Amino acid sequence: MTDTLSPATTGATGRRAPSAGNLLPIIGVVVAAVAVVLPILVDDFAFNYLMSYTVITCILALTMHLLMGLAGVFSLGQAAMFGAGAYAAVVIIGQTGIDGTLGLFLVAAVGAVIGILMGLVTLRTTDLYLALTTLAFGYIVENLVRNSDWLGGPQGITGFDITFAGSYLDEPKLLYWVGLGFLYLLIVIIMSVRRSKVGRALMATRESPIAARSIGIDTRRYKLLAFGVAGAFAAVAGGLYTAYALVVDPSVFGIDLTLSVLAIAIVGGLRSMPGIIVVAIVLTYFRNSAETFGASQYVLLIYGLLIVLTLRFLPQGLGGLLTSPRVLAATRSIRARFHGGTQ
Amino acid sequence: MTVILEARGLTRKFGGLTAVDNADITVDEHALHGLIGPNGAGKTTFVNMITGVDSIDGGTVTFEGKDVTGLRSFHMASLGMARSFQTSQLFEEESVLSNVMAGRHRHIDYGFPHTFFYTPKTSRVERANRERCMALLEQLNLADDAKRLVAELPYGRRRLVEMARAIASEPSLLVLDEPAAGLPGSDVEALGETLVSLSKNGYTVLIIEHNIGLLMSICDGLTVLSEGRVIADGVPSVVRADPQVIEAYIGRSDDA
Repeated sequence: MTDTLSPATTGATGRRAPSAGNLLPIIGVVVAAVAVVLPILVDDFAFNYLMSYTVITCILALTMHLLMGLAGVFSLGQAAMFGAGAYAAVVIIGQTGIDGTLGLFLVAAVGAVIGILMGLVTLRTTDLYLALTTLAFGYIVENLVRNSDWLGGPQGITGFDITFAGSYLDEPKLLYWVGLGFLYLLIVIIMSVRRSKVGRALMATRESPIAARSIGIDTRRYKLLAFGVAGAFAAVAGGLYTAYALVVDPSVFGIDLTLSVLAIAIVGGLRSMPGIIVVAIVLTYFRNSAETFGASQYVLLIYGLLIVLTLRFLPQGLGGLLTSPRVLAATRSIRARFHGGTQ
Repeated sequence: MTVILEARGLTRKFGGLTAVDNADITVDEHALHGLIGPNGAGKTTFVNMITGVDSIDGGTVTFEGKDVTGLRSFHMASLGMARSFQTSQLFEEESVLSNVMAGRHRHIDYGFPHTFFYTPKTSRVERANRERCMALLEQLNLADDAKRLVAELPYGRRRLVEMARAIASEPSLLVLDEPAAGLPGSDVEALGETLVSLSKNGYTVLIIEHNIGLLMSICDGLTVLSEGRVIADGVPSVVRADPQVIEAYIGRSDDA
């Protein structure tokens, strides 16, 4: 408390703001490149099929990262946009016959509109109440669809073809690549946003809405922007999911989906994109294996356990380890040993 | 002198209690204006109404010649009215630099696609923004803390960061709610010097304080609030001699 206005109190030992090591971007680019050629290297139908599902999960999990991690909006309504995207893809691409190259962007637009609509309705509340109202919004959309005969009612719709550039998207390799394209687009957007004016505005909105408004940030507008972008990509994920599942029924709105993606986002770290992607891959693989062994009824139980353990021991998730001061110090000392102690 | 801020007949009621009753204030451009009054006089409520944080039950606010009565706080801020808060409102888990850079929000004019795709323009504007903020931190002796998290700074420096963030927005009116609260004596003096140098650099500052010693020495004008009403207004030497002020405020204290 003493001597607080003079600069003398600063020391070099203080906890620094998280900064990713300069190795991280290189690793990212290499991993991204490997991910593109992976289906060619491992030319296995079942593997590619699983990979395409993993990419869809990654997209959905990153929309949670954008909404909860960056904008600080605790929304449980992403299933509404995922489901709406699934149905929109069937109607726009499958039934109307618009090719996916344009159709998926129309699906994204539908998701963005529904996302913003959800934001407009629910942003009167905050925190836990927001979580509940967004969840309720999802149920409303689900019930609208369930009771619409032209959308197949409770039985849903089968027998549609999702095409992309003239090819059928039920070919897992193509589905994987298209999904990967959208995933990369989302990653680029999130990374750019984080380093730009919008990212700071979202940060301010998340950390202190009162302060954010005091420097001219319209917090509501930025939250709506996050809802819109997250909605657009969740809808694309839903649209791709229809090509994966070959059937769309009201179960795409299920709480099961919301909870499993929430588990991925929390375990990976709401603020950490790499953490979420890694955990999305691992947990999707785990879930698939569990289904193979007939243990799928325990999957959500284990997800719940993971959430509890993460919140107890790693509140910032696995991704938080990347920026934790102790781990950073450890990696620095290891690298110093290899490079002759430049740091 | 041009008037930058004029509030007329501002009133705010909380249930049966009238927190601010028909209060006026006029702040001249480039002035260092103080709003003083004993605890519970309604100073913060008054300022919350002016800055759009709280709603207004009666009266008008004119800022730079425009009627801004009832505008929300982000709108006020985008017009150039920046403020700090009595209990500091900072972006705790962010660096000092990032806090201050956020303050320049209204001056960063790129939009889509530069926000969604990190373009050369984004990079250029962001670099300029960062340099400007570093220069400001330098001036306020905060440069060494630029990369530290706000959450771990000592109290006095946190207050300074909040002020830096408000200054970064290059406001035409800077409103500071009790910037000296909780600071030890030596820091209060340093704060006074900072405020005077701000005003010399052309800033208009409205300071809220219940400790009037600081304001008496540095302010060009004072408004005294007591029990929600303005009881005196003018240059410090006149306000100091006002019998009502002495009775309501100074008279109860040993040291003015």
